[in-house]
Amino acid sequence: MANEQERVIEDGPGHVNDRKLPMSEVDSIIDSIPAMVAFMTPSGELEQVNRQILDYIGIPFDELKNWQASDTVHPDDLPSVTAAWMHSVDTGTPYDVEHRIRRADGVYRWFHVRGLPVRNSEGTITRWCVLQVDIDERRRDKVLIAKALADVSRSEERLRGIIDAVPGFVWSASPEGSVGFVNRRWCDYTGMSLEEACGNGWTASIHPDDAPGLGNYWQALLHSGDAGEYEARLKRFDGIYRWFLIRAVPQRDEAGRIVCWYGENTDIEDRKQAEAFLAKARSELTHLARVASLGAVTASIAHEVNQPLAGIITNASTCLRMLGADPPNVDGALETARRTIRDGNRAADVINRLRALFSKKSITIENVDLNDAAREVIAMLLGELQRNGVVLHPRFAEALPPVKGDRVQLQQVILNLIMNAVEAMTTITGRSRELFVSTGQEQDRSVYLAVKDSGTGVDPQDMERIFNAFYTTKSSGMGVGLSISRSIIEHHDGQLRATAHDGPGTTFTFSIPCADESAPTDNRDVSGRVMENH
Amino acid sequence: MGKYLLVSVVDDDESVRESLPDLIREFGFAVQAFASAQAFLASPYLGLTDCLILDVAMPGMSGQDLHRELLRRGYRIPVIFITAHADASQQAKLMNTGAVECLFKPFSEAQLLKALSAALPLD
Ligand SMILES: Nc1ncnc2c1ncn2[C@@H]1O[C@H](COP(=O)(O)OP(=O)(O)OP(=O)(O)O)[C@@H](O)[C@H]1O
Ligand SMILES: [Mg+2]
Repeated sequence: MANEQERVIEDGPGHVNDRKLPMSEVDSIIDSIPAMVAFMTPSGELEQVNRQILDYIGIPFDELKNWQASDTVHPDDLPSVTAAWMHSVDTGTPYDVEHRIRRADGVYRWFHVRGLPVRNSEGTITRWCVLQVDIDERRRDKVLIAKALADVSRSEERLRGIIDAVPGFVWSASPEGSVGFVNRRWCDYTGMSLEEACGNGWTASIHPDDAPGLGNYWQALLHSGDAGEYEARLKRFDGIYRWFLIRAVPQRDEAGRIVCWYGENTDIEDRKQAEAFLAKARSELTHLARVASLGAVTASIAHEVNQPLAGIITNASTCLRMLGADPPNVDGALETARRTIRDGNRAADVINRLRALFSKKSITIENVDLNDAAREVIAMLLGELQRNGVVLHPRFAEALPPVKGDRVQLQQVILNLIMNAVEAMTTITGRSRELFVSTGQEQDRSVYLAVKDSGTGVDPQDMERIFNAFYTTKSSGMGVGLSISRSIIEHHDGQLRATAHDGPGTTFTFSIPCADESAPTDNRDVSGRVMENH
Repeated sequence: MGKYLLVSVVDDDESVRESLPDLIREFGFAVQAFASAQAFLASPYLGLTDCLILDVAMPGMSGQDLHRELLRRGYRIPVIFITAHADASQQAKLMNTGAVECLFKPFSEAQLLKALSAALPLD
């Protein structure tokens, strides 16, 4: 645009002078040029301006002649404008400057001002032709853009500064999950560079035991597009692993498409250590309590039964001796035989008393939520599970009705079943140690809890024997866990059974009638049951 | 009197006091049974006893307490402990106090005989 106008002017005045057009015609020609045009003398004085200039500046030509002493040119630009103009006049080189010119209303606008010398046939400069093009808009846009760019880069720097200062690790990844940025702290911690971390490089910093789980979880997030978090150990530059909570959040555009993922890792090592310590302490306490209570039970059973057994054996021995004497002491033998029978009955009484003790002693019947009861037991055993490398899969049914029973006894059963499952998996190598604890309702509305393991399994012919008291295959076992558990469940009008399942391991399931009177949530069902029962 | 060695049985359990003396008598010893440690200490058989069969867990004075008291009084009677608690660590402890044997109830005739012959070298 400017070039076209420039060409017109360059040719224009030359022809005009050559053809010696009448002055009035020259005036009307320059007035019709759709730009601001001025003619200067070879010495640099203002010779003539067109109407556009007079209209824009709004002062008479005579005053305009003295432009260098006025504020027509912006005072800030005036020194450089004057210098450049003097230079062109002195050397005859084209003049090309951007500066502000005052409009009639006092507003300064930016102009691109270019001046070219007009020479006669001898090559002497006869005058200067100066074209002024309003570039204010363009100029303002440019300044705005420059300023905006400066702002952006400044805020980017600030952002990066903030990101680097965050007391955690910040990262971002593509919608497909390829990491494109990690902050300085991440690099400082892992000792890896940004380049090394990019793509999948960061996975090298994850503990080998946590990497597969984290990888699966990350893939699932990428697939579902949900935000999520995962706990994993990250290797520090010195090889030490610390626990981190890794969070990922998707960033979406207006259409809901994921643009990128932002992530943040928080150091939770201290919390983890406290948790692990607590869990260990709790688990040890539980184990102690369990062993102590079972030990106490067996000891008391043994003591009570051993007393009459001692009598039986002694009497039977005496009886044999009396009968074997010469002559046989028949009266004495009869007396000792009678005592043998009496002691035998006494032993039976002890057993009956113990059975009564087992099933009745200090039972408090209340509504028990098996989900809650199981959760509490599991919470106590988390450390135990972790130490044994057991992966827990809780599968708790929602809206499980409560059962009527003794909470502590039922928890004792759950504890026994889980401990048996864990113990059945300690020798397992080459496959994972999986523990499923699930709850639900049977068709007859009774509530069940199942403990499934991937352990050694039970020989089909031992499926019933394992419930016998003192049957154990463990060097340190007492063999009472399952028999006590079964007596507890049967006292709750329930059943405890062992089944084999697909694949290795065993499932132990107990089911207990649900406490229907206290489950008024489903009125129809309850009334149905009541009708049935009466 | 001098012909038979005297075995005293101290046990709070009545069936033991009934059955054990008969068997020991069948072995050829004289026997006296007592329901408590105090009863034995108060009896005239204290100084005549050649071997003492002593229940560990008794209300009031325990078998160990009685054993200690006898040693304190200067009696060197061989002692065979009997107990219904099959606890190996307790057994070791009792043996360390100088007992001849510690039998878990129920014990066999042979075990008892072996313990008695260890306590009373027959001549
Ligand atoms: N989940 C299981 N997988 C394989 N075998 C099992 C399982 N649960 C129990 N058993 C078998 O049943 C036996 C009896 O179990 P029970 O719990 O009654 O006693 P224990 O575990 O041996 O000893 P305690 O419970 O007194 O510590 C066990 O020794 C074991 O052989
Ligand atoms: Mg068990």
